[in-house]
Amino acid sequence: MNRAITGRFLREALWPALAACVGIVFFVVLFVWAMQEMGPELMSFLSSVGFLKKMLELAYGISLSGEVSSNVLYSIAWLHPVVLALSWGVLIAIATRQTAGEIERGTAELLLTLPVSRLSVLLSGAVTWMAVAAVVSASPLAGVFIGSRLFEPFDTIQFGRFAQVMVNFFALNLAVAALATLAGTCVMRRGVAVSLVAALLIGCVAMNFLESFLTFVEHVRFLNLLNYYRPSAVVRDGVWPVGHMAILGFVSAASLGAASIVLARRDIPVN
Amino acid sequence: MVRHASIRRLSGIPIIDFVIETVDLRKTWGEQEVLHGISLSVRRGRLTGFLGPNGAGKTTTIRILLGLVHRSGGSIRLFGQESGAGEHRLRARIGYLPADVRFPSGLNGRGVLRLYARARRVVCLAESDRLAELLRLDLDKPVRKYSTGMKQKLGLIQALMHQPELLILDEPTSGLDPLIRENVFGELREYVHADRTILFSSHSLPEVEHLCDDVIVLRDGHIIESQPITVLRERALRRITMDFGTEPHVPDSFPAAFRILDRGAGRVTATWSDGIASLLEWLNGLPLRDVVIDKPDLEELFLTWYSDDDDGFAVPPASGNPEPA
Repeated sequence: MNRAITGRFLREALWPALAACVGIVFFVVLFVWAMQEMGPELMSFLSSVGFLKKMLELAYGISLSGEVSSNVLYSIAWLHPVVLALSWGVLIAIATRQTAGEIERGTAELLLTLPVSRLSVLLSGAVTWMAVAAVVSASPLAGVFIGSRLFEPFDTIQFGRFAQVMVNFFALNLAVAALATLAGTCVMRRGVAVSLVAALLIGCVAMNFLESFLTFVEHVRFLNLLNYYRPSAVVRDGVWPVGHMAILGFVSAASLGAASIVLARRDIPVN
Repeated sequence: MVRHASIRRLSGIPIIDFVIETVDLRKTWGEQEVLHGISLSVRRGRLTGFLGPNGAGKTTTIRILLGLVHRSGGSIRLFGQESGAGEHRLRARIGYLPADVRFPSGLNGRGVLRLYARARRVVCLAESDRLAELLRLDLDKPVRKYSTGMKQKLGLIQALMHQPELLILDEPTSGLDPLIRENVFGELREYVHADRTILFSSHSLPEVEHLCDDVIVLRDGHIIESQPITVLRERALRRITMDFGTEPHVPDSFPAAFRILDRGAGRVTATWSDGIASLLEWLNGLPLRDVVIDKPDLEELFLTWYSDDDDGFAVPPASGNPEPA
């Protein structure tokens, strides 16, 4: 890893990361307020519509039959499409910028002729998206904290369990960023890399919600990244999702390893 | 087994004659071979021009030397060392200016130079300030507001500031005004006097002729010439314009050393590839009204190298590239 290159990548990532974090915190605070105001009514309505109930129970891993606690209601925010889109959007943007983006902008030419190995450049990029993933993953927790201070919850908020969710979310975000890095090293154009990863993640989200309708999806659910991220179940049970995090960690390490091999072997075309 | 002859040993200390050596260097893009076994040598302490038209393979060769592109065959030695896994360490001794230089956004000129200096783990702020003054570049201006010429100057400074042993410049003077270009040439000459080496890639023959000690000429992925510029000058053609007044006075036949370029209304323009004495002797017997003999330059030779008809030269076999004398 090269400190100067890492510093440059971090500087370039600062504003997009900050914007995403502010967006996530703001959204989660709004979500907490909405759940406070109409959460129980909304849940009872949703549980009365059969297919919606089944879909949400499968997607979020919660039971809508009984009384739903504030903790479980707030945990839904961690898997909300807006939070996922903001987190993944910024991570994909940053991870692909450091590979395909450098080639596309023509700055890879000078970067890769410095006395620095390609692996070091890749690791400098990885350190950047790891830092961004950490901040982005902590943002929903900040949102829950601020929201619970502003709007009085029904019951005590168990921040310890939300911290477990945060670590699980961090592992998920690392896997997404590592996959984006791999895509960025394989293609010439950043847009192609972004499209590839976006398609994969949209597939994951769709699979998560469609599982209740399409039985065959159940057979391939192990391929779905969101299968290893169940915030509501973690908040409900308070058990560390060690197995899930190990799988997400493996995906990150394998993707980063593959990216380093591809980057070391590929030619850098003239832009 | 590839044989390089770049290292002599003097009392056990290696003396590197050639900073760059390639043997049978090949590159294939898909099905198309773009470098057909290039064997070139760049001598230490020399300014070597790397000439060729667009698509000749100059940039591909340079990018292979720098590790941006992987070779399909052949071998490379940089500073006498086989270029392979550790090549990024060798790059600490190289300065490079790409043909189309681009910089990270959001920085000013000084920030860019500081970034590259820190990435190279060198301190060279005084040298970069000196070069900025020489090239008259405002380093406090944001790079996004730089013109093409200013970016080129910044690229030159980043290539030169750490005083590398080998400088690889790809079209370095494009976008520079004539005054600054002369300053750059002066700096490059100083650089070579300090026993450093420059590979200067260009389309421009006058520039290479004006500046370089050696020339390597590439065409269609083959080296067609590799000589000191002095040797090429001896072979340079003279352009002669003869005015006979009227067409009947024009001779029916010309010596073999003549290559007629234009003829009409009693005037003949031609090149002469033999010595000046034999030319004057031949001209002496002609009913000439006027004659203009230009100073020999490499332009005609250059055109011969690149003419589509292969009258002037034959592309040599891949393994038989000439080496500098």
